Amino acid sequence: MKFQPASAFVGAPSSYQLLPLRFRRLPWDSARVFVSSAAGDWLTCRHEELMSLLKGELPIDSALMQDLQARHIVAGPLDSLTLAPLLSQLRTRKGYLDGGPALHIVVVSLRCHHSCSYCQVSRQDTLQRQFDMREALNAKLVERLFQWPSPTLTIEFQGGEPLLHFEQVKALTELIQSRNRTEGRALRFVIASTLHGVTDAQLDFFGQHRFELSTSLDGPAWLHNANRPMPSRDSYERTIAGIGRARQVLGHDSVSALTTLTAKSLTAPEAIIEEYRLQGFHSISLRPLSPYGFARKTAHRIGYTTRDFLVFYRKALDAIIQLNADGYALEETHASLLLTQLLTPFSHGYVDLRSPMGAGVGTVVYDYDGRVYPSDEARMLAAQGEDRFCLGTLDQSVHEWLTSPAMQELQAGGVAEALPGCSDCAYVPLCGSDPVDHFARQGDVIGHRPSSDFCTKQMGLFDLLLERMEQSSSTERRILEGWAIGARQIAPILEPVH
Amino acid sequence: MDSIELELDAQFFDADVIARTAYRYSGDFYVLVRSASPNHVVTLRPRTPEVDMADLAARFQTDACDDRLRAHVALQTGDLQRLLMRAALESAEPKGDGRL
Repeated sequence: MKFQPASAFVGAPSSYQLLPLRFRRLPWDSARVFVSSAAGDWLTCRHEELMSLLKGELPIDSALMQDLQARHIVAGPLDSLTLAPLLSQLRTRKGYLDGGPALHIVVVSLRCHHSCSYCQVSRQDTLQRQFDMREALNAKLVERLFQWPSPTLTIEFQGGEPLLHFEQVKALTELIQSRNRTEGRALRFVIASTLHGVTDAQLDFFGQHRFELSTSLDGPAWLHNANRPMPSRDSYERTIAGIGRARQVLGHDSVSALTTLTAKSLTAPEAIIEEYRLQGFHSISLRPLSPYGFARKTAHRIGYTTRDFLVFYRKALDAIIQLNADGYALEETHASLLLTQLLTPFSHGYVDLRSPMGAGVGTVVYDYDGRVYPSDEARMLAAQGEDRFCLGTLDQSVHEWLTSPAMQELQAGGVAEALPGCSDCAYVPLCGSDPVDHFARQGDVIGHRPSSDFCTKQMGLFDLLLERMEQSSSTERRILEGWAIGARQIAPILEPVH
Repeated sequence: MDSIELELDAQFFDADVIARTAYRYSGDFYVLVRSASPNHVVTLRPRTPEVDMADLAARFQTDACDDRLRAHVALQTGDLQRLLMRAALESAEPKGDGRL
């Protein structure tokens, strides 16, 4: 019996349909491009191969064509069956939109015992109790919280220093738990605290309600004490003592930490990472300064450009990867979030990586005075006198908040796929929009992408991670892939400690 | 600081394509675009002395060619893109009168 040649089993050549795609030349190899689908699947190829594809000349039986089809960048002759997986993938990627806001930040007090130069809020003296949330607001706050339909609710207490008004944390937690007996939601409690002077009774309470503790550790003593000054000049020692007490009572993994980066911090990536290793942390979050509150006033002294941050971040990432390769597990949380976007089809809903925006759609902030904001940054702007993004008060329904002028203004800059400069960016299916940040930095919720710090940072980090993955050894690549898989669990607690 | 002036064939590049490319450069440069048939004329003046001027004309031309390709893709797939986005976001829309 004689077999037909292989060509007899292949369909008609040049029969393919382009699906929506975006591309970007790789900054480290301009002859190659990153090509992404509408749902964020991607591959890299030579620019000339892309040209061939767009001209309809790419062989239908080539390996690249199979790759492009598998990633929903190209389909066979157009039919609805081919589009269903792409739509499903797009819905999965934007799964964070189902159920409305899941992260609810409650500011129980503006009082704080620190005087950090980068503080994002209008901290108040520890004796100024008029900046505490009143217990009379509790019933309304809980009522509003359960008006949101999300099956999971993360309630994060912050300040100022929330432990200075612990009674309010306790009262609200108990009220929420009590109400949840009939609501049946999955609750998660987080407290963002310096942990200075945390008591055994407080820790017992946190253990009872399975709180996650998030604190600030900016690096070794010389750096932490410089960034986070106290009259007693021992913020570092108090923080380490607080972490130790919490771990003793609640277990080693009960505390996570963030580092806020000042210009001084940028000089010491290795020292910061070594401090986290010494303290036994297995995650670190390298958080650049935000243009709010006291940080805006002190920017000339402690600030730096986004490009400076990216130079620092590259060094820090190299050091962290080396530490992992040497056998100590430490992940950088923002890298993990971006790698999850790049390497998995799932959404984690981190606020900077959502489109439509996270503000008001993924997060709600309840301020100490009963006013409500779509994000912590919007609250900080209000503290500076710009309250245009205030959604309303606890006296109003969530429906009124969602239809407020603030939400209408934010929505104009809230969908990345529709923003100038983002609409044809190859990273946009993996990225997000932040209209509050653009208003704060550029005076406009839409913003100007070519001079946007948000855009420079996001694109710089995507470029860096892609380049790093491409140039990694197999060991290093496994480390980065491991972060991607774990990242979905950490997104909701990546909120700042003040 | 010196500015540079580029001429781009208006038969090959739509004005919209040149406007998109010029937008990408508007962070580092003051940009002036005018149509002077048969070419588009683009003037780029650096905002600060630190701006990288190396191969500027070649970079702009290359980016304009890439933006022309993007316009080609958008023409072929734009309707599909909008359809997909609408379908994907439908599930997130509030039900009924919008009350939660």
